[in-house]
Amino acid sequence: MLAIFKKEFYSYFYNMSGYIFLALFIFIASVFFSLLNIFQGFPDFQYVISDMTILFLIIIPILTMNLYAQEMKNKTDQLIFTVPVSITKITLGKYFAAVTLFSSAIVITFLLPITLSFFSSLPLAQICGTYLGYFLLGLCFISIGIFISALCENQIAAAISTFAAIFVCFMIDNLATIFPTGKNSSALFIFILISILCGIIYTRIKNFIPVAIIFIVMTILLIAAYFFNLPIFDSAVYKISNFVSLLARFNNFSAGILNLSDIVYYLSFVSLFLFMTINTIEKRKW
Amino acid sequence: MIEVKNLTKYYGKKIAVNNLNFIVNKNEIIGLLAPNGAGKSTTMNIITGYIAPSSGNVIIDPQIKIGYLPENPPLYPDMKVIEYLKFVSELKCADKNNLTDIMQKFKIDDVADKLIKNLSKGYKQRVGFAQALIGDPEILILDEPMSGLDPKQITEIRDLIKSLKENHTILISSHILSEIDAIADRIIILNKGEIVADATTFELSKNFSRTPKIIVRIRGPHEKIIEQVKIFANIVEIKKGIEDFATDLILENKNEGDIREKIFQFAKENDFILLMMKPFDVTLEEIFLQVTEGDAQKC
Repeated sequence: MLAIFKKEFYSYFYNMSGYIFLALFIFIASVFFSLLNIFQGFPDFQYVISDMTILFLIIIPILTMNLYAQEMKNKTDQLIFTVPVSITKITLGKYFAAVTLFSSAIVITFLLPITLSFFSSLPLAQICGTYLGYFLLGLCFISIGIFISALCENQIAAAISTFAAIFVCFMIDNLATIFPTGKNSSALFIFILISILCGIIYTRIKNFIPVAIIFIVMTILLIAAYFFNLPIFDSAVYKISNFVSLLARFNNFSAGILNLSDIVYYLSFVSLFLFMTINTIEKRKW
Repeated sequence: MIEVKNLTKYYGKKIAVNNLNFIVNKNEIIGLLAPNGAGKSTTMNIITGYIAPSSGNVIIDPQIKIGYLPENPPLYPDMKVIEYLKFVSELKCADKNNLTDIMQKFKIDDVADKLIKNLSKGYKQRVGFAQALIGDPEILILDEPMSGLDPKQITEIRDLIKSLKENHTILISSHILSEIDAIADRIIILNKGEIVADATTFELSKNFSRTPKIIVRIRGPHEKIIEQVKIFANIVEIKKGIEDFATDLILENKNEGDIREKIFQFAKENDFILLMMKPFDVTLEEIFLQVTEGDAQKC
């Protein structure tokens, strides 16, 4: 795992992507810092970090597009998947290399609030909370990126798909508000979710009967809930999207609320995507 | 050492490898010979665990290490040769101290500090081969190791493979016979995913040259030769020879003992001059073409 980690980390600097990433990140952070903290004279550095979430759209594809797509393109996957190192270790090695580069960029931006602290008293709790939230959000997006990279054989396709996926994550809160909140539309929405879920399970296990059973059971439960007028249908679209939304939880952090459930959600999200990445690679063998 | 049992692989509905069965013994060099697209690389990818078979299995002692050189050498173009080999050593948890030996063996020590993307195809191929030897694996799986090399390098690599024979078991593939018939103990010929021949080179040539042929070149008037030569019942071919006033005959020996004496007597009686007489061997190339065209018997 260490060998893969080292190779991936150095390879950011063999090709230019590591330098581009660091330069871009620090430059944008400094621009936001100058605009908000220096010219306007605010001590609230947490807003700079919050504004920098938009940067994820660009920096995450840079970080993750090469992780697996390039191995497939160079055919070096024939080397790393035939040595006695498990796919889990390879995936973790790659993931942590991306996380390490991302973290080092964050650590460099610590200089900005430290500079600020000489001239003003800072809302320390909120800044630390926002940093933690930003870091966890980054972990989630990197896990999405590595998953997409494992699906693609072309880095550019991986980069664009990652951009699109992160864009959807950003838009999901806004999109949720335009959906109707009525009972019928909520039931329909949940039914579509059940169908998609069963579809995904079917593509994974390729066995029709258990998937059909799951589908029928869940549909019956849904119909029952509908006729018993359970409260789950009240603006279900909004509730569900609010639950899965990564950004909505980040807002808790920047408000200075350290909620254990948010941290657990982020870490579960990362685990799920890493698991799916490993699963995708394993499945490719067949 | 390697036992392949009922190995079958489908890609979608297309069958790539169909029910392969063979055994590779310890310290044996097996040549896997097939036209392009006949399932060589698929078989090797399955043996090394890169892909899984649709059915059947490959039995190798899990303690035994395998070195693998895929068809396209798995190289990182942005790395230097030495960095790449160090990475592979770390990946295989192997000793990094004998890298210099390996580089000298493959004559790549002069490009150790060059970026892999700037190397010629021959160098890339050798770096890929060197990678397979890291960690001192007992089994070597080499998928077309000679491709991209010039004739001198091919000879060198062939000598190297021969020198590895003492303590390695090697499965080597190629679509060019001359590359492997000199080093392989046994040749397995694949066609359309199936084994069509599995024998030593000696057995192959014995089975496929059903009746020995002899080629004779005689100097004398062409018409007279054609007239007189009819006493031999076993003429396969008569043509004007490439030399002046010469005629080439190809005769088949159908259980009538050594016909060379008869030929000599024939030339002497007719005042012809005998320029050449040599056995006409069936080459492995011809055997290969015969079996892969599917019209030959299985051996």
